[in-house]
Amino acid sequence: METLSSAEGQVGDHQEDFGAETLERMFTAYPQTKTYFPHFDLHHGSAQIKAHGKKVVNALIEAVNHIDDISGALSKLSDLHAQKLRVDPVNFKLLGHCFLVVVAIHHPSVLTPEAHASLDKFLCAVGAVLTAKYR
Amino acid sequence: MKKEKSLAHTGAFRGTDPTPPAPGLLPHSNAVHHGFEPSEGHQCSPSLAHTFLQGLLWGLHGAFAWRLLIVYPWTQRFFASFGNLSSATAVLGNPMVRAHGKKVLTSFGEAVKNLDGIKNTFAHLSELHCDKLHVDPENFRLLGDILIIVLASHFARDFTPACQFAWQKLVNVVAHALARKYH
Repeated sequence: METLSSAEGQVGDHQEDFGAETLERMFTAYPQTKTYFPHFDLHHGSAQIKAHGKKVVNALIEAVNHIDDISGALSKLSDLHAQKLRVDPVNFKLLGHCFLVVVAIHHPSVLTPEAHASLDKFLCAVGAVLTAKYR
Repeated sequence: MKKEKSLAHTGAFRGTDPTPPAPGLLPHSNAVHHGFEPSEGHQCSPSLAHTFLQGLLWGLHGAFAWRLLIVYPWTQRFFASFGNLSSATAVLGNPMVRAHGKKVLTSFGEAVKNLDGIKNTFAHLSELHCDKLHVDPENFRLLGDILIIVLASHFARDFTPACQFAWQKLVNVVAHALARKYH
């Protein structure tokens, strides 16, 4: 928990940037993820990517702040993904991976093996919550 | 036949002729295609694959499509124009679902007939699925898995492990070809 809070604390100061970079990396490394954003301007520095990145990171911070009840904290988001967005579950792993890459780049000291394991486990849990109502 | 009964029970089998051609013997295939090659003395020839597909086209194309939409309901996101998909019953009865299943299986048939040129066969479809339809290629993998399960449920023991292996490779190659033009 402390590990996660510490990591998220460092991220929290740069929500927009980390979120945007996460998304940009995901769109570049995994171009198929762009299929969910045909309505976005996906160029580097796009305001839409910045705004969406901020949303993603805020959701992660919210989840960390309610670590014992992630499904409660993200319930509305879970509904949204199940009923409207219907992003294939495989993509949450891709997003999580890109987020870890961004953390590794900007705060390599935060990402000790233990912290890495915690953060990865946490990101998997978030993905699981967001897809929990799919069926 | 047991397989037809089990499918008829679900209402999924609507072929007018319930007897697909019996899968032929497994002649050794000389064709070596993109990892579709037989291994360790087991064979599942392209002609057999075509036989399986014929069987599916005769009666099961609807089964294949509805199964995808029900087992992985998020795949319905691409079919808003198909009308009522609100329940398993609705999906089962939807004629557009059946028609789409037939389209997809026909495409697979083209792949099987032209194993050397799968990438070319699907080049245009790949661009279409990326640029116009915005379909996540993960869906091609889900669809491939469903196809194999439908084949297994219909052909039972005739769908040997060797056949499954060959079909897994085929669906992987098709999924890869369909994703190839993504950018």
